[in-house]
Amino acid sequence: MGNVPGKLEDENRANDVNVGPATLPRTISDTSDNSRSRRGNTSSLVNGFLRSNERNDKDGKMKTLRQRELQKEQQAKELVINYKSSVDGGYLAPFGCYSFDKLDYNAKTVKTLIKRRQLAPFYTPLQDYDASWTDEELIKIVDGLPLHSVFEENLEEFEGIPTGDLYSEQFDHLINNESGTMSKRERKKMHNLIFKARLYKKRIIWQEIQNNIFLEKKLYNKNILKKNNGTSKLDQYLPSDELKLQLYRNGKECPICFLYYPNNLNCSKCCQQPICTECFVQIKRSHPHFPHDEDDKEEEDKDPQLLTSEPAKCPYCASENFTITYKPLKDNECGYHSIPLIKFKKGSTNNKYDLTDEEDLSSVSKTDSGTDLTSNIALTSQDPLGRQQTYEITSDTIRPNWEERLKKEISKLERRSANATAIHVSNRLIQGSNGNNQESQNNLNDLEQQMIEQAIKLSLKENSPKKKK
Amino acid sequence: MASLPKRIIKETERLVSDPVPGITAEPHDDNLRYFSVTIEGPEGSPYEHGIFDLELFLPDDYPMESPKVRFLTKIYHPNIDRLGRICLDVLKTNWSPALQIRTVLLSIQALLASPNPNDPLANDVAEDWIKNETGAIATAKEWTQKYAQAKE
Repeated sequence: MGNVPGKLEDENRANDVNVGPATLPRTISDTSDNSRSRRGNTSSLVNGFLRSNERNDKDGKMKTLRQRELQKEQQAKELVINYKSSVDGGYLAPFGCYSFDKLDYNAKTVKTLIKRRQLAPFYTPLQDYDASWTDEELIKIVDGLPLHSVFEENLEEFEGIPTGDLYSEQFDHLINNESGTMSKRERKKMHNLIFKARLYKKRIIWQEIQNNIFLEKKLYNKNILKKNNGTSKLDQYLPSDELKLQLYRNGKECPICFLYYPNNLNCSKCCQQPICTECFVQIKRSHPHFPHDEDDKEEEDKDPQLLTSEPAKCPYCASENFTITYKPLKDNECGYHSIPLIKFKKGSTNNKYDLTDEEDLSSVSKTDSGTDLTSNIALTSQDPLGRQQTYEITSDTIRPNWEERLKKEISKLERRSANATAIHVSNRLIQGSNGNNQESQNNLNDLEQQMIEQAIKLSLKENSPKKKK
Repeated sequence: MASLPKRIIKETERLVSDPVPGITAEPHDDNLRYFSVTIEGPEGSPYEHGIFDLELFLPDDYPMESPKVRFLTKIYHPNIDRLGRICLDVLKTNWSPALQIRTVLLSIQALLASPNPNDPLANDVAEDWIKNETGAIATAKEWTQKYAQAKE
């Protein structure tokens, strides 16, 4: 005992769902639409302004649509539980207590945190627990646990949505536009819906493949044990009976989902309350919204720049900036960077996992948004050997792109309000051009000036983030 | 319909096995996310001796999203409007997934005991409450008498 089985580790990696790197988004080089020059005809300027916004918007999206879809597929693949990727008897992806569309955290970051034992793994929960169960009963119940919760096969939102051949990349032919009456926007909406329905189906299939392997291996081990063929042939990735007892005897109920988990749950930093990882990944900043003193204003009078999104509060004591810490239980140690689950024996001095291995750290640092994970995790304590022990994790740690999302929301509102202004101004121009006096001419000039300023402002804003890259 | 999360099942069971004094909440047979609720008016408040009917609905995202609660019985209260909508922080921005049906209903009961006319939902009632508190309390008592009596 005491060796790090390199094989387990390698297989763990190999069996993590393979996802190729997402291609980088192309930069939009043609921005001439943004800075279109002033034309003599005011009405064409108005139209041009409206159109340029529209076109710009669409071009930007068209170029990255496929990439964004690939990104979503990649995220879905990361959320598949593989029974071979276990840390201390738990997994790297959630059991499925919350619906698939609510899993919007950065799955890669969370996986790395779990592997580094800085966040509790996703354990399979027990629906109930009764302390009077005998060891045999408890083992039987744990043996009956599925790898992932049952999927709702037919979601209402995808009712009647065709999904076609899931292995084919093309699916736009599924958009039913025989009558040719669908507008571009409707077709786009349909495209998105079909994509989502297809992804949902794929997600189920991916997980079911893993579920079946898990079941087969459980049966396989059961047969070997029955025949008394010795333990060497057993599948290494399934838990030993001692591990099942170690994990589920003396567990805890998560106060949010009311499900029963092994004892090593995450803990709120402020008030030391337990929270399971599956509930933790659901907690996030507030959706971008206007401050409450803006409530009385009309929707169009609100300044998009005022949109805010506050960090999550502690669900238990409402302290600001909800932060959790996790301390792995030495007694539960097995799996990744430790002994195989099947070899787990209670109280044996297991191999210490090597936290100095920073290989995974670097891979996470290179997440899409470029945010360095290490800078998001504050070190709270260090043992004499310099080994990092407790980390503080917030909902921003696992959603490094929250700022991007807020900015996106702001620019969306800005574009909308700019369009509204343009329409408004164009109406006034038309009204103005009916009267022929000097005053209306002045108004006309003012309005024109206003619009040009607006257009310049907007184009500057839209171009500035691109220049940074 | 989607299967019911364990949390909702356990909360419902615990509401039955360990009921809150002065409050009842029963799920409908055909929709276990929809509850019929009654709250007794708190002692010493203008709503004393009244029994108020409410409806409570647990949305799909519960407990990440707050329950939707509404008074069905007419009530004269600065933080409850004519449609029975309730202005209460824990139902909106201060909702937390660690709160439960039980705690929400207790908060509503507490709101009956201490109306807050400075953060009104029913503007006319709140104005009345600030200008003429005795009169407003009398109206609240009258409405309790008139609308919030136990059905025989």
